[in-house]
Amino acid sequence: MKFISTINVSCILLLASILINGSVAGAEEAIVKNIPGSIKVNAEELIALVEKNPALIIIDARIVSDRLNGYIEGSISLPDIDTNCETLARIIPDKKTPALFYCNGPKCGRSAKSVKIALDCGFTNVYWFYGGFEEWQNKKYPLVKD
Amino acid sequence: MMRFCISVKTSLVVTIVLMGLLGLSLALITSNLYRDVVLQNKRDSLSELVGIKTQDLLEKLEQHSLRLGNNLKISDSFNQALAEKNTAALSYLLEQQFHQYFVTANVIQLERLLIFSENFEVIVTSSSATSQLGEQLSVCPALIQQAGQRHGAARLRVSSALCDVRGRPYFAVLLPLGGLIPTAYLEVVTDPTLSLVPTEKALGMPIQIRLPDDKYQPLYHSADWPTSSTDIGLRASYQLDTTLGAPALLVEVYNDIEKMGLELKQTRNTMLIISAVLIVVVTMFALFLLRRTLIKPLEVLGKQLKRLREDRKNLGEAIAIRSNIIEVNQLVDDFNMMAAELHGLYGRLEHMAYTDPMTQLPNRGLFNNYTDSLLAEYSGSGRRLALFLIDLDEFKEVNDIYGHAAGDTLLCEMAARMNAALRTADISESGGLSLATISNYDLLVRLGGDEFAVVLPDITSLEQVNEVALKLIATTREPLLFYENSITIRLSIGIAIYPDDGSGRTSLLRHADDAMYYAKKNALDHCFYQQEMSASKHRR
Repeated sequence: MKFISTINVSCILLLASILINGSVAGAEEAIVKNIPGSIKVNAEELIALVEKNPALIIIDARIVSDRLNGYIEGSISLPDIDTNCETLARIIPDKKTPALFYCNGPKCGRSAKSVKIALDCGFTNVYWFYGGFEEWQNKKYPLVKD
Repeated sequence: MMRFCISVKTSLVVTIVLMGLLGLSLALITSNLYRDVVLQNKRDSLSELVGIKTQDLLEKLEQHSLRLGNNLKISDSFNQALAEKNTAALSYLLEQQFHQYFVTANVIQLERLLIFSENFEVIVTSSSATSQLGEQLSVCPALIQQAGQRHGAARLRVSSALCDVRGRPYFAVLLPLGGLIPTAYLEVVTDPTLSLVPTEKALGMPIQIRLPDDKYQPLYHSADWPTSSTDIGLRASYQLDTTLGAPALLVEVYNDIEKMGLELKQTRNTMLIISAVLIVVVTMFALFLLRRTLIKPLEVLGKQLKRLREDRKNLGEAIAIRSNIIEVNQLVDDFNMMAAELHGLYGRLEHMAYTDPMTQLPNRGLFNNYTDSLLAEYSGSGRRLALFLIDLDEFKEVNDIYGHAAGDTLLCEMAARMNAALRTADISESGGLSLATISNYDLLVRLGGDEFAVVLPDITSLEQVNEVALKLIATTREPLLFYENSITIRLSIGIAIYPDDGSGRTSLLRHADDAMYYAKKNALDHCFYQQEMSASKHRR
């Protein structure tokens, strides 16, 4: 009798753990639409931002192979996997310097990750180009290919 | 006015054939209309297809132009020259672009490269050696003007346009230079003709690219583009317009529709053959039905009428044919009824014409006809007949003593007795009275007054004739009661034999009369004619 109840308890625990893990995984895969602490912009707002603040640093968070398809002129490549406080500090001279992150588009997720890292590292003027390269290309804004 | 007459059969055949011809004409017209609709649909879809393909190729041309611009943008020396506004260096670098892969490999036909300042003033330009643009600096001014009117982010947008310079089409792409805050613009001008040539490969059909108003000097045409204007292939075209809406270029495609034409022709011919076969089958079936229901009964009616014209004896025959048409059956029934009525009427008329009203015996008319027909039939055949002329000796006496009524009764009685003794035909009214009904029978007739005649056909011997005469004498000799007085009637019979005593009716009658006279004179009951009798009668 005691043996059976032990099995029951362990089964319930197993099920609960599967359910909890599953829900956590689902939350991770969901598209992030807003990141508190950053400013979300579109292509036109990006261009306006450049005109207003030529010191803006545009960071391409995509992997190098994606960048071969073209990139926003003047952007610096820093894939999300290489993004940390140290690499960011090398590109962005000051914590207050405006920095903008983009990747392939809303489903990409890399720029969102980089934005979070930048915020965590203490950068205060962080912009997030949510539509990314997809929006840029669709709106026929100039791009560059290496 | 002469009335045009045709038979029912001809009328039906003509009607069906006319309807068939109408059907065939309709099939022919419909198939031609169908062909036109099919061809128009095919032409429309081909035009649409050429349009889609052409737009794709222009998009590709734009991509190639952008790639060329990109090559400059990523060139450090170009960026440096642009930053320094070094026109000599820029000019050199632009010139180098005419040796790029796209250009030398004929992927695009680069005509001119221009660099504008941010205020859209030409800084530097470089043209192809073969360019027909000439001295004119500005290509597609509308495109430049449009770009100049843009503000903010819109200034960064890449734009392209199809333009017309001195009657020739050019494709221009304008892209910003100098990063996200443009400091200059690059215009890549190409001739779109070369870039549109792959349409022929994509569609698998020969194409021709020409200016809309120049039919005779195309800018390009495939090697297998038909030269003959009478070629029956399908031609479809798509027109490219400039940004200002003017016609710039016409892309024509030629589709060899010989196979489709053959299929359409075959379909049409099959339809026509099926229609013709159907007409023939329907005609045959209609004629078969018509024959069964109308023509056959009418033919039978016609034949019967012909038979009636030939011989009225056929009046009594009814037509047994039946049809599926009510009216025809009614006609046959009416015909039969009318024929039966006529048959009865003719019977009654003949009876009346050939009958003695008092004794109801046949009269002189029938006697004459019967004798003549027998004589005609027997002539030269060796067949013989006997002719009796009979006179009632006591008739005048009975008439005088007992009156005419008694005389009439005497005549009727004697007639009945003699008729019973002879092998005569049944001449009752219902049986009819004609030569046909009395044929080969003995004939007893009343010639008039108390004079009777008998015709005995096909006699074999004089003994046989004599027996008949004796029989008549015997049957009339039986006493007759008149007002309780018994009267015995005596006959005087003169007999003439054909052909012994004469060959014609008149001579036979005369000789029988001679014999009868002789018998009466010599108180004989009957007497066969002898030549001396004629002589003695004449001497009298």
